[in-house]
Amino acid sequence: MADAAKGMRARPLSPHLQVWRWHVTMAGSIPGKIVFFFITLSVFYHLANGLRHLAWDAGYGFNPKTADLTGIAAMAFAIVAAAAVWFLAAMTGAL
Amino acid sequence: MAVIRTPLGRARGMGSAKHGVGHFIAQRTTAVALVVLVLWGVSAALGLSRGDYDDAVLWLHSPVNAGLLSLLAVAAFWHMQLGMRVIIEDYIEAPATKAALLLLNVLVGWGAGALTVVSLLKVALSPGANI
Repeated sequence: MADAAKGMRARPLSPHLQVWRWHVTMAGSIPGKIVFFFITLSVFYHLANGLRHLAWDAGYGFNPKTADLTGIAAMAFAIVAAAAVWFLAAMTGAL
Repeated sequence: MAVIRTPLGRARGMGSAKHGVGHFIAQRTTAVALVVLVLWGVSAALGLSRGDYDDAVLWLHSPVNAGLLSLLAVAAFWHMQLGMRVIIEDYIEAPATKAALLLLNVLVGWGAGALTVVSLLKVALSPGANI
């Protein structure tokens, strides 16, 4: 991408299963990305759930139905946000 | 009104050191700061993942980026330390183990924070790559 404009060597690409034979650095790279995805998920879930706790500290959201709803919303936000970040990363060629 | 309490009881009854809510307030303050800083950090990471090493060094040369990243690191390690403290206090019963873990928690928090800030300052103040 930007490398070509600067006349630099292209960055190494991710393992592409269709065209690469299996090798051990592939087995190192793929779990790394899975772990990093789950770290993204954890960060977003912690953020959303932390907002619930801040609301509870202020005295709001204790109604059981509200608590259920915000709980599901926090989980949904975490999944959607983490997926969106990794989708954007893939789209911009960062993977 | 007659004083029923013993002198020792009265001395002990002076109350708390008035620092009881410090932990609570710090935990919430860092939480609010981290909501903004983490969202900024994720978007910054997305932007940086597109470029190469030189782009990242150049990015960190901006005082705004270096400052916000330092704040993110400090707030995150502070928040982590406060949270871990509660977990250790609540779940570790043996006094020696508890004391050791509380000490370790403080040292890891400060150590990780210092390492991170010094490291990113080193890059931020470096002359920079071949730009």
